[in-house]
Amino acid sequence: MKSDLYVVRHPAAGAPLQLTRWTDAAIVNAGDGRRAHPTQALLDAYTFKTSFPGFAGFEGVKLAIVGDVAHSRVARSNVELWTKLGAQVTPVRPAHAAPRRAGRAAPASPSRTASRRRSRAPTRSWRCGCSTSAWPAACCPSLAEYRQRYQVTRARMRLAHPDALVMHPGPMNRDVEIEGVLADDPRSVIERQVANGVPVRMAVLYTLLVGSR
Amino acid sequence: VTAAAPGAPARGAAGPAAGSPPTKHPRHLLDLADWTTEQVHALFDTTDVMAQVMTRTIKKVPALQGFTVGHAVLRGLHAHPAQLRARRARAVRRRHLLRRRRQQRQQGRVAQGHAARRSTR
Repeated sequence: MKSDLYVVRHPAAGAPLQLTRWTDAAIVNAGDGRRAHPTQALLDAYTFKTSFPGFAGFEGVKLAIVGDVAHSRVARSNVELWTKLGAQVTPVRPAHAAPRRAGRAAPASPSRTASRRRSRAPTRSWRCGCSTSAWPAACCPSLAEYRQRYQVTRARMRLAHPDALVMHPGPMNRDVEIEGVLADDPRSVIERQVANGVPVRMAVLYTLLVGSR
Repeated sequence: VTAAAPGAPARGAAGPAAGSPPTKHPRHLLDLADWTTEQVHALFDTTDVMAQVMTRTIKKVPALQGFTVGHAVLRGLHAHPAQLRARRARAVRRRHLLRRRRQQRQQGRVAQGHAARRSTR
């Protein structure tokens, strides 16, 4: 049996790249270690794009990624994609969870603490998104501290643009990285993200299988 | 490994994105750094079509008939509790390092030797 395409998820970064040397099939990276999770970033951007009728483009959009940015492949891929599309990305994370190598892709200087976070929150942007990453507990010495300083709450969302959206890649720890009530708020597009996951991945399969020949 | 339903190979048949502007097609999706902005936008256009397919009663894309897709989900992806503990401990260590460095800066001290090398990290 010869596969035309492999979808690979692997704990080691770079495993899908190694596979491209071993097979002629197209490879879709479904997450390798902490390095990249491209389809999640694509569906995040697609969800954002389709949330606004008459969407003009990603230029001028400000995105804040809250959480353990250093250890999150979703955050890393989102930084890569949104900056490529012209958005401005700000990682909001504890100082010791800074993305050291991936951070080079981000033009915005990262904010460090909750107080500076306020001053740097995407306030007067045209539109902005706010995305939190999973595994928040691992980047902070205590969960209570994370909750106090980095939890995305309705109060903190008041600092953002009124049209700002809240995204989350899941699985979601309610009342840890995101206030439970906010997750059910109309500003939260988390369920639409899940729904968009299917057509985005269908499009990836289509592009790589049909488009390339 | 799961295989797609075998069917008559209809490769090259007109697909949903047949009308989209021609872009150089990417070979793999490993990393978004390898994709151009045009390729990403073309993918979003294809996604619009696929989202429309999902609203149909028969959710099928004939152009994909006959292709085989393998899923390789290798286990052990989620961090082991020991890894999480180590990560948390690393966070504490790094916080102490940053605080120490800040204090030294305030005191006008310049790190030397090992400490200097560490502070360049």
